[in-house]
Amino acid sequence: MPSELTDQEIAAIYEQFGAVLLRRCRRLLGDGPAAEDALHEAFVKIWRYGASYREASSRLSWLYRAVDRVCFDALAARARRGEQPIAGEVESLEPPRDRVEDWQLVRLFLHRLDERLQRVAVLHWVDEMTQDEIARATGWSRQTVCKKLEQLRDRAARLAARLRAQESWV
Amino acid sequence: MTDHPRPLDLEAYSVGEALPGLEAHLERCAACRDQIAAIERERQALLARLPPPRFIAGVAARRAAADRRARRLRAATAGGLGALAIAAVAAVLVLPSAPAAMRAKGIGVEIFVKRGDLVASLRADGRVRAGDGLRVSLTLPEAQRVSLWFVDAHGRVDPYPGGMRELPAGPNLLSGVTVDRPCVDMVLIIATRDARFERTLPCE
Repeated sequence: MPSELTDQEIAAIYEQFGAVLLRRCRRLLGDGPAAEDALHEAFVKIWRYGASYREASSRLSWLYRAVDRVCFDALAARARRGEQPIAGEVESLEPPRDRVEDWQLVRLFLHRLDERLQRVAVLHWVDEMTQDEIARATGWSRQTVCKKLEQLRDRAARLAARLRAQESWV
Repeated sequence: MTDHPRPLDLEAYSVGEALPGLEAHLERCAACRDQIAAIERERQALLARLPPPRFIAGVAARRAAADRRARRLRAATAGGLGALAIAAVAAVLVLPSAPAAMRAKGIGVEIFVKRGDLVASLRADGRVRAGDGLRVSLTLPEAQRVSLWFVDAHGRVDPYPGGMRELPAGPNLLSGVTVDRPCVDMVLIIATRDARFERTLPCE
């Protein structure tokens, strides 16, 4: 089998998954052109590096991970440009209301986390997975996941305090 | 929390990756059926607005543009390194060496890395990783104009935030930058009127 996906495979993925992948981009980046831009960019990567997609046990999970990485890069680029997510963007997110504030803050430093922690944050705040599910998805123990989430919440709280004090490292 | 499936589960169902028990829930839950229908409407709307051939053409064009950029960068990097090598040889052969006194009182550079909540001075063999915050402390023997920029392994040149600046004598703690994701090996170059400093910042 070729290492790249074919045009037909890419078209089939777009037809079947395009809309849910765009939803995912919007959850991570907010409504607006950035989400659609990320969708295109993700498909460039899926096309080029998508050989393992064919063997994925959950194709949707595989695609979500590809999209997530592109969105993390977009968030990093957004941070480099000094842009902050627009407060109203959070309205387009779907996590329950009591989680929104944490997620809004976590999204501000998501690009600074290593890949595994980014995944934990997204699985928890975006996918609403339980700690057991996150442990299974990441290979960490439940206890470690619990600790990591606590660290992320602490970090979010510290960021909130810093934002209030208008201090910033960068 | 509710006992409704998560958006993730509904999306999986909508693309044919159903979870056990979800079907039974949908049979009795109109709200979740509505959400499935909304996802399907979104799918139809997306395909109508951006039909697959147009989408694929857009992705292909973006991919071709990325390939062209990568080729140009590779060529520019090769050309730039060649020019740099020629300039270095020329500098050794042609330029008079700086007076000993000037070499002795060169600039002092220290790089601080913030990783998580820890801030430490970057060791000589230190490495950086994506997301690290970097701050440069520059000690100057006298007030002077300084330029700083990063050149990464792909040949990308990024001026240090703030561009060229006039700095006073003594220690100057410059504003911070964040190491991009994905991390790419880079060189920090600092040029003053009389001296040039380079520090390699390899990635972990």
